[in-house]
Amino acid sequence: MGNLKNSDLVEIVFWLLIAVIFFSVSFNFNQPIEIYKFGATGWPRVILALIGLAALGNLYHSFKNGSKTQKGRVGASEAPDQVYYSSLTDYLKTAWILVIPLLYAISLKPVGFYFGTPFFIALVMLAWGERRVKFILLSTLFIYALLIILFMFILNAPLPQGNVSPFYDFSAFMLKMKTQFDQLF
Amino acid sequence: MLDNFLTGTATLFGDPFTVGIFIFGVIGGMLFGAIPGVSMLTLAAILLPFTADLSPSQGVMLFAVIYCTGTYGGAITAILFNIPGAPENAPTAFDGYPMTQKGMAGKAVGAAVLCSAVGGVASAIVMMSATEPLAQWAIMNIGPPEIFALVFFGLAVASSVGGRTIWKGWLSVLLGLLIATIGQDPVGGINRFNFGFSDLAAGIAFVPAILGFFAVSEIFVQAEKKVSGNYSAPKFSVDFPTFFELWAHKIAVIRSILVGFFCGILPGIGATLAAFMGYGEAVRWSKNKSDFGKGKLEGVISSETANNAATGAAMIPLLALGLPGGALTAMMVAVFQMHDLEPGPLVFYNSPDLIWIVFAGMFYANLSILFIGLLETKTILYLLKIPFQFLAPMILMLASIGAYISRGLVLDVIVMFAAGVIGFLLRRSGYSIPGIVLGLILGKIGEQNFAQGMQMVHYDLGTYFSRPICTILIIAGVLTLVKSLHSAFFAKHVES
Amino acid sequence: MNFNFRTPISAVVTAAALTAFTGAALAGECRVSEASMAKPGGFPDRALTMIVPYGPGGGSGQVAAAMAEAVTELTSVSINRDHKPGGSGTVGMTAYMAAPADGYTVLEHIDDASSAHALDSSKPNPAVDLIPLVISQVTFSQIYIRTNETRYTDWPSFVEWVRAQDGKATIANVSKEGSMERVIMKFITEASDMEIQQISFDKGAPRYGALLGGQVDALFEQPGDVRKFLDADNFKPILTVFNERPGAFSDVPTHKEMGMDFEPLLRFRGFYVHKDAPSDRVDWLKWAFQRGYCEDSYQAFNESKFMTVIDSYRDTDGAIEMINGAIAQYRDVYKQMGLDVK
Repeated sequence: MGNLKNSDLVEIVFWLLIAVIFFSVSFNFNQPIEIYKFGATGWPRVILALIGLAALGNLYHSFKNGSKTQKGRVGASEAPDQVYYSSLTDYLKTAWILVIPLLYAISLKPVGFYFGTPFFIALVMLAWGERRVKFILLSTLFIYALLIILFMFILNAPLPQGNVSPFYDFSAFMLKMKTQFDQLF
Repeated sequence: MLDNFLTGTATLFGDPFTVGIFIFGVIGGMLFGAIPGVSMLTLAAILLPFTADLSPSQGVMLFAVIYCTGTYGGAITAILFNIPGAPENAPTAFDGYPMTQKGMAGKAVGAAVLCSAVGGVASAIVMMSATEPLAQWAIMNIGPPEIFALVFFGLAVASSVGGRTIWKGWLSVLLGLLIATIGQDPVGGINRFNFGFSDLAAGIAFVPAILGFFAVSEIFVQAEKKVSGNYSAPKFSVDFPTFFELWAHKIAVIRSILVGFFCGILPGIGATLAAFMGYGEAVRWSKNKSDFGKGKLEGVISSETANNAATGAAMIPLLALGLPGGALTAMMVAVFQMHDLEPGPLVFYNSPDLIWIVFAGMFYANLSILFIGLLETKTILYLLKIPFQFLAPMILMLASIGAYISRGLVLDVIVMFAAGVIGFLLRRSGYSIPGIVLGLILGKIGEQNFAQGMQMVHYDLGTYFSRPICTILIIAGVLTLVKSLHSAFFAKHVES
Repeated sequence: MNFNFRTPISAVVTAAALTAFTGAALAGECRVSEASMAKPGGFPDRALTMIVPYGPGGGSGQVAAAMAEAVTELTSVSINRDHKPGGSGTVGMTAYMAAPADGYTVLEHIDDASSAHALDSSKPNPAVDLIPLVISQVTFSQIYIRTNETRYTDWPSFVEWVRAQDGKATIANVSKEGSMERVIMKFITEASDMEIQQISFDKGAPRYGALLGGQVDALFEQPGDVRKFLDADNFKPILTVFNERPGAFSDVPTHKEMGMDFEPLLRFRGFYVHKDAPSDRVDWLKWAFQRGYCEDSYQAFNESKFMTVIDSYRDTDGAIEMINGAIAQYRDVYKQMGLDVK
C-alpha cells in the first residue's frame, strides 16, 4: 500500500463519488442547444473528467510521498493548531457549533429575520460555552438592537420577513413600527 | 491630463456634500473591509439602492473610493483573523496571519497601509494617463477568446500556487469550477445540477462562498478551540515597520505594482489574480522560498501592493468597455445603469466630468489610506480585545445579512454556512480554499467566454489560435501547467 | 424544422392588441382620472415590498425603481425593492408565490414569465395566478450594425453578406432556449433564408462592446437599451421587428416590409399582485400603479428609454389580454420548434 493511509482512500472515494454522481445527474439536462455545439453538459463533463484525473494523481502522490508537502507551494500551511478531542461530548460540542448556523439559515424562509435572530444570537453564545445568563441576555439585546437600527432604520434593507404565521405577523408588526417611526419626522 | 485632474479635484472638493460622500466612502470602505465577517461588498450591496439619490458622478465616485479603501481594509482582517475581507486579500493572509500569531500584527498592518497606498497611488496615476488610449486598443483587440485565454492562464497560475501539492491545488480549483456550473448554463439557460431545489437555478454566488470559506470557517475554528479549552486571544501590537524595513523591499513593491496593474487591466479577472500573482512572483524571485507562508513581511508587501495597484487598472476595462474586473466593479456597473448610463467608451465623450471626479476620488482615497489607515488600524486592533463570545455572533449576523442582501436569497445564507462547515473540515487537508473561491469566481466567466469564443470561430481551432494575444496566453497557461506537473513528479517533498 | 409563417398564429388577439395603440399620440397619455383614492381599511399601513426577479442595474431594476419612486410620490407609501435575480426570473417568481398574499408584497416581471408558463404550465400564469396592476413598458426589437460598417449598410445588403459567409456571420443576442430573442431570430433567419451564428451574452455591456469592437457582425436588442449608442451614432438600426414603422425610426424598414410575415413578439414589463390578495387592497394597488404611470417622474423615465415610441401602457384588462395573447403565441411557436411543451 506504499504510504497510503485510510484518509487517502477516503479522499479518492470522495472525489470519484462526486465525479460519478454529477456525471449521472448531467444526463437530466443533456439536451442539445441549437446554437452551441457542446451543449449544457460539455463544460461540466470536462471538469468532471479532470477531477477524476487529478484525484488519481493525488492518490499516486500519496502512495509515493505520503502526506509530505511539495516544496515551493504557498498557502498550504494554513493548518491551525491541532485541537485534541478527548470524549464524545467534545465532538458533540463542535458538531453543535457547526449545526446551529445552518438551522438558522434554513429557518429564515419560514420564520424570517426579525423573529429568529435573537434566539440565534443567544444560542450561538450558549454553544460557544458562555453560561452567564445576564451576559447572554444583554449581549443578545445589544446586538439585535444594533442590527435593527443599522439595517432596518438607517439602511432600509429588505430582510427576510418569513412566510408563516405568526412569524410573518411579527415581521409585519416590526415594519409597521418602523413606518410609524418614520412618520414622526 | 493635469488640467483634467485639477478640474476633477476642484469639483470633488468644491462641494461640501461631495466631500461628505468621499469621506464616508473612505471610512466606510476601510471599516467594512476591516470588520471581520462583512466586506466592502456588503457595504456596496447595502448602498446600491441609495446611489439612485446621488448624481451619477457622486455614486460612481463613492463606489470607486470604497473599492480602494476596502481593498486595503480587507487586509487588516486577513492579517489579524486570517479572514480576507475579499478574495484579493487572500494571499495577504498567507504571511500576515502567521505574523499576527508571532505577535507581529502591527508590522504586517503597517506594511499593508504603506504598500496599499503606494500601489494604489501609482496605479491611479497610470490609470489617469492610460485609460483612454488603452480603451481604444482593448475594444478592438480583446474579445471572448482572449478573455477565456486570460481566465485559463489565471486558473493555471492559481492552481500551481495553492494547496499542499499540485494535485490538491488543481482539485481545489476544479471543485470551484464545478460549483460554478450549478445553475443555468450561460448559452441556453438550461438548469444544471439543481437537485430538485428551484432556488439553485440562480447558481452559487461567490459573495456567500467567500464569506463562508473565509469568515465563518475561521469563527468555527476559534469556537472549536474555545469549547475545547485551547483558545487564546490573538496577540496584538502597534509596532509598525520602520522606513528601512520597507525600503529593503522596494523591488518587491515595484514588481507588484507592475504585476498588479497588468492583472487589473484584464477584464473579468482583476485584483484577485493580481494579488495571487504578486505573491507568486515574490516567491519565485526569492532566495528563501521556504520562509513564505510562515510570516514573511515580503509576502504581505507583495500581495497588498499588487491588489491596490489593480484597483486603478480595473477601472480601465470597466470605464472603457463596461467590463467589470471583479465583484465590486460589477456593482459599479449597476450604479451607472441606475442613472441611465452605460459604462463604456461613450462615458469619455458624454461625461468627462464623471471620469475625472472618479479618478481624483480614487487618487485621494489611496493617499488617505496612509493617514486615516494608520489611525483606524490602531482602533481596529482593539477589536481583538472584545470577548470572542460577543464578537462571534455579531460577525455571524453581519455575514448572514451581507450574504443575503446582494441577491435577496435565503439560499445564499445557507450556502455561506455550508461553505463555513466545508472550509472548517478542509483546513487540515492541504486543499487550497482560495483556489476553490477563484475557481468559483472565474468559472462562469470562463465557460461563457469559451462558448462565445468557440461560436465566434465556428469551432475552428486554427482561427482561434490565429489571434496572437489569445495564443500567447494559452501557451503561457499550458507552460505553467506543464511546469507544475513536472515539479509534482520531480520536486522534493518536505514534512508538513 | 420548417415554419409556416403564413398560418395565422393563434395570437390574433395579440396582433390586434399591439397594433391598436401604435403611434405616439396615445403613448404616455394618462388614462386614470382619479388623482387620489382612500386607503381601504388603512391599507397600506407600512412599506410595501416589491420583489424584482432581476438585478438593480438592468431594464427591470430601472423600471422598478422608477415606478416605486412614482408610487411613493403619489401615495407617500414607501416601497422597498427586494431584488432576487437568477434563473431567468424564475427564482424571484417562486419567492413571490411563497410570500403571504396580503397585498403588501407586489411583483415586477417581464414577458419571460409568460413564455415560461407557455413552455411549462406548472409555472405561474401571470394572467391567472397573478393580477396585473399595470404594464408600464412595451417595446419592440431591432437589429443593429456599426454606423461605420462598410461591408453592408442596410438590411438587404446585410442579408446578402450573411448568405455569402456560409453560416459564419455572427450576431450578439441574449439567447436562452425559448426566449423572445431566440424565437424572433428563428423567424428572421427562416424567413430571409440565411444562416447566422447567434452568440449569447447575458450582460448588456459586453454584448454592446462586442459589436463596438467588431467581435460580432450585428446585434439584436431593444432600442431603449442601446439608446446611448444610437445617440452617439455608434450603432444604427437596420431592421425593426414591429408591424409598422414607429415615428422615431421612420427610416428603418420593418420585418413585414422586408418580406417576413410573422407576428412580432414584444418585450413588456409590468407589476403584479397575488390573485388571493383582498380585493379592496388590489383595487387600491391598481389605482396607485396605474396612476403612478402618469407621474411626471415616471413619464420622463419612459421617455428616456424610448418607451413612448409605441404605446407602453396596459391597465389590468389590457395586460391580461396581452399576456394571454403572448402565452398562446409562444405555445404555438414552441410546438412548431419541437420543444417539449408541458
